[in-house]
Amino acid sequence: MSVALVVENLEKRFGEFPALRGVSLHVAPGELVALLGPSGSGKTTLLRAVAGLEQTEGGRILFGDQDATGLSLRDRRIGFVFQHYALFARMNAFENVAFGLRARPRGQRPPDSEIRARVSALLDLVQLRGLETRFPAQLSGGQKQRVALARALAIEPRVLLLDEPFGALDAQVRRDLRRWLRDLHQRTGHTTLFVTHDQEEAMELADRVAILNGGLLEQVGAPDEIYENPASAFVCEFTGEANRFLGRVRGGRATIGDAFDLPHMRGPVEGDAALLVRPADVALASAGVPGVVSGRRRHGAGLRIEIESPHARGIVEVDARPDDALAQAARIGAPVFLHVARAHAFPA
Amino acid sequence: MSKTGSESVRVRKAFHVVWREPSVLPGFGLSFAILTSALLALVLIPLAALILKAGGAGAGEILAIATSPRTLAALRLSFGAAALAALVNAVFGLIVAWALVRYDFPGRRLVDAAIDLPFALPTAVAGIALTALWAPNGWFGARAAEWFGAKIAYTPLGVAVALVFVGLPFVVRSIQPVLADGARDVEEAAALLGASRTRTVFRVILPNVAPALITGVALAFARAVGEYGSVIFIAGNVPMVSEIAPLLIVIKLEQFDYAGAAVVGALMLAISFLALLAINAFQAASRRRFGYV
Repeated sequence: MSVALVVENLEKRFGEFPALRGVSLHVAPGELVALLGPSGSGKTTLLRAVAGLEQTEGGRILFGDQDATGLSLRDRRIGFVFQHYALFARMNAFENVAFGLRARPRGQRPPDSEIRARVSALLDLVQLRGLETRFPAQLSGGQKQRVALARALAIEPRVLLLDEPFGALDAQVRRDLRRWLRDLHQRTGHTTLFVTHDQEEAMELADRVAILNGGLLEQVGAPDEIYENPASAFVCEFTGEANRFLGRVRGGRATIGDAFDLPHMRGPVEGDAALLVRPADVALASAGVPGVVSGRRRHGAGLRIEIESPHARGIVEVDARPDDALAQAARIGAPVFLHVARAHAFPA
Repeated sequence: MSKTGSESVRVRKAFHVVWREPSVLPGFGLSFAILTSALLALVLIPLAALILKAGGAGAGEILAIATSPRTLAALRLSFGAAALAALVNAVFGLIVAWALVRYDFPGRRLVDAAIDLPFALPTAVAGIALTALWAPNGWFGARAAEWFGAKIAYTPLGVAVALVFVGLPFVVRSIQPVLADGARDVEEAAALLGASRTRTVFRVILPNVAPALITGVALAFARAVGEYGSVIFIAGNVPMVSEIAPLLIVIKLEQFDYAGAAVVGALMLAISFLALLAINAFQAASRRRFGYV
């Protein structure tokens, strides 16, 4: 497999605070990779280091087989889209997109007619035809973000980096832009790295997701793999909802409480364990882990029932159909039993 | 409710519809009253008195005073030196503000505080200090004479030097906040797109700072036109050469030529007003185009 971008053992600290602690990542040509993590996890620092905007203390970055360490920002040829767009306020949409072409040294600068043609093509690509002469202040957030993307694509970047590209937009626009970005990526095939703290966005958009926590890369993998086989309790809880049961693992079988046992999913855990269970994998049952209903509320088409159990840390959330007999009986304060179908076991 | 009561409510509502957008913020009436009375008492009435006084001189006399070579020379010096000083401050103030905002160096806060000294210093003190420095036997004045054969104090150049001094803080303080939050990411974007440092400065940073810079320069210019205390010491006050218009007014007053003083004053007022109006129009156009000043 050829590689478009290699990050090797990257180290970065801000004063005493370690932002990146030996992060390594390979990105294949044309791949769309999400950097996912909570704030302060180092995901933006990693992105900025790849762009050359942050100096790193250790490790190296390669574009293909070219070491990026000594490369100037211009020679890196990175397309970078900032969270707050960073458009040039005194230039209209057209001039913003043309900036990278016009900024080339005289010898490499395309003739004006070609610049016009390429900028027009890019504005078509991001569906902004007709808005060429608008200034950034006259564009909506989604439009600004698309101008920023067209501007980044204009320099024919080796790698496209997006820093929380939809972070400042409202939910509906985010969803539309997400789908649109997915399409665009399929058409243009740029190697893309994007930062997000929204697991849904990462899982839906990316070919692979890299999960960062406290400056460490916790897991890299396809969304399915990450969701199905999380490498750590952190990954499991960060990539989707999870209930945390306390149990024991002995000989590959996990036990919650005294009686209830279930096949143990993965991990070389023995003894006390945290058993993480997705809401879809736990259901009300006539026997199993005991608990008491502490709340119930509407959740989309179904019901979400909140249960307190001595064998769980925090509230257990269970989804049920409103016409389910057990769910109807699960009034607040009622004792119930839970059946756990699958769990991810991690050291307690 | 009585009929007159509801009537008064209706009148008040009509008043509000005409006068302002509905708002949850209280105090519109009070602040509007204070605004208008302050404007009236502090600005409009004195200015009207000035124009009345000038008008009392009679058309022929007004024309004679306004077109007398001495008046014209004084006005030319006042406005010319103020414009020159404002332009010098545009460049110099930009560099000072840039250094203060962008770099952290020992004593930065001290330098930052010192910028305001021309505001705080009694202008006469500044004038005397500048004169001592730039006089032919002063520190700077001697060098200027030796190296460039130039005489600074007691010439129009000396006037400009004093006006640069009093105008600097206006420019620096106007630009500083804009440069400070002038989004780092915009500069990073330019660099990543391959722009050289010079291109980034001239195409990206300066256009963003321009409106604030123009405001600062306008303020510095307005202040310089009316500056008196710091100029009269260094100017030498030779009629037709280094006599500024405000000094001409004082001289006329001392000669009990009140109408003459008022005419010169009214002329200065008119020119300043036109200059500020032009700057405002420019900024309004910029706001319409870019969505902000």
